[in-house]
Amino acid sequence: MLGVGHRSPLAPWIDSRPPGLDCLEITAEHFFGPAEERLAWLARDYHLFVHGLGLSLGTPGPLDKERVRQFARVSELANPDWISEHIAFTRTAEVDLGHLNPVPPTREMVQVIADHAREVSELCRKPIILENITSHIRLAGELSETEFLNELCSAADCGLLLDVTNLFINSRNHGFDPLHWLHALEPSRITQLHIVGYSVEHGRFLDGHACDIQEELIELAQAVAEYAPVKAVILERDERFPEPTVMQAELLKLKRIFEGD
Amino acid sequence: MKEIDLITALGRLLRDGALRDAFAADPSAMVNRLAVRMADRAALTTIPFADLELQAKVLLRKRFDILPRFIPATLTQLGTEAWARFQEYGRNLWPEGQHHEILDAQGFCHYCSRTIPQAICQSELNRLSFALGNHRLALHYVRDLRIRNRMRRGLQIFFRLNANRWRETVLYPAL
Repeated sequence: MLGVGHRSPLAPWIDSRPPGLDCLEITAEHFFGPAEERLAWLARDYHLFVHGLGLSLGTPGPLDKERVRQFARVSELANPDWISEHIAFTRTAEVDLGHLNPVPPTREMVQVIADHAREVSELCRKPIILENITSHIRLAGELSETEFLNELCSAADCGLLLDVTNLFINSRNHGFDPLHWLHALEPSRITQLHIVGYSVEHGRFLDGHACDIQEELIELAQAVAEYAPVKAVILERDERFPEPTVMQAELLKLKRIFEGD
Repeated sequence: MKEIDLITALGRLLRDGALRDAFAADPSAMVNRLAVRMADRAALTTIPFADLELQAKVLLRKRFDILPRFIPATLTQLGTEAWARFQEYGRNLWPEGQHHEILDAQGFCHYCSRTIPQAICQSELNRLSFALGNHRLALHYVRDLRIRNRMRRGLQIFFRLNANRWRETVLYPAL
């Protein structure tokens, strides 16, 4: 299945039910509060996935109960095949940092995230998949990043949401081979992909979610398609939305890779 | 002193520029000062300062990107200066609590008002102050009301309905 991340500026295009758009990924936090009518409308027309930004699965200690309750409510309304969150922390016991930050690749952290992922999955009564993030910091730990991801997916018995753009950006900023990294992952765990163009500023690669997909990313997506049984691909554009024809062309390109002509 | 884990320590460093500067000068001394537990010390001290600073900048940028919801006119008047000024203001300051986003916008306006007061949209600042306060009613005469994309003089009236809800109305002379 091919789809896009639901964002308000894309609503008119989404509502026109463009060809090639099979599914939508909705960000749970965008639908906290009184947005049930819109959600019901989208669920009628599209296959939905629910994606979280702020559950902070990597924070040791209990999850934020109110956030999880709201997340579960959105999941109940959207009735997705699966839900997803990031392998990251956004808050500590002391401060809400408002965005995704990396966790150390340790067995202790595997347990923290796996326990939280299982808890969210049980509350939502949906399978959960976990997403790799991009970060300027690369924390050291007893495991390599791919060992960490494999152990995490095994401990949580969950799939991986592989963000191809994040993988590419990290490989450039931290100097490793993305294909080598990809092939160290357990392929059966790779369930869904995220992809969007990257930007470069002062020599650093950034995930601004504001650019068209570059050719290197298409090549990496192609490698993933050959390696793993991916079930869904989401084009994750957040800013500087292009003309609908550009998004449709990108979807078509991805469709050829993952579903053939 | 109670020991803290890597995530808590990283959170403190990412929100506090002065702490990061001290970390850059002597990472080992900083992890001692923070009382980071032994098992996490190596992972923390090996983070390159430049990477830590860049990650902190990403978080700062997320805060900055929320500001147009509250102070669009002020940001327009600051123009290309806005991001640089916000970095100066926000590096060592991290508003918290239920209204942290409004506090951030208000704090930034106050910071800018010291050096570039002409950039501050007073009607926006009045709105933030009322939202954060507990007055039942407030009245301001302002020269920078935005009415249909035009700057107008007029009266800005705020009234509180209950602890969580308030309204704003404006009165301005017809042309």
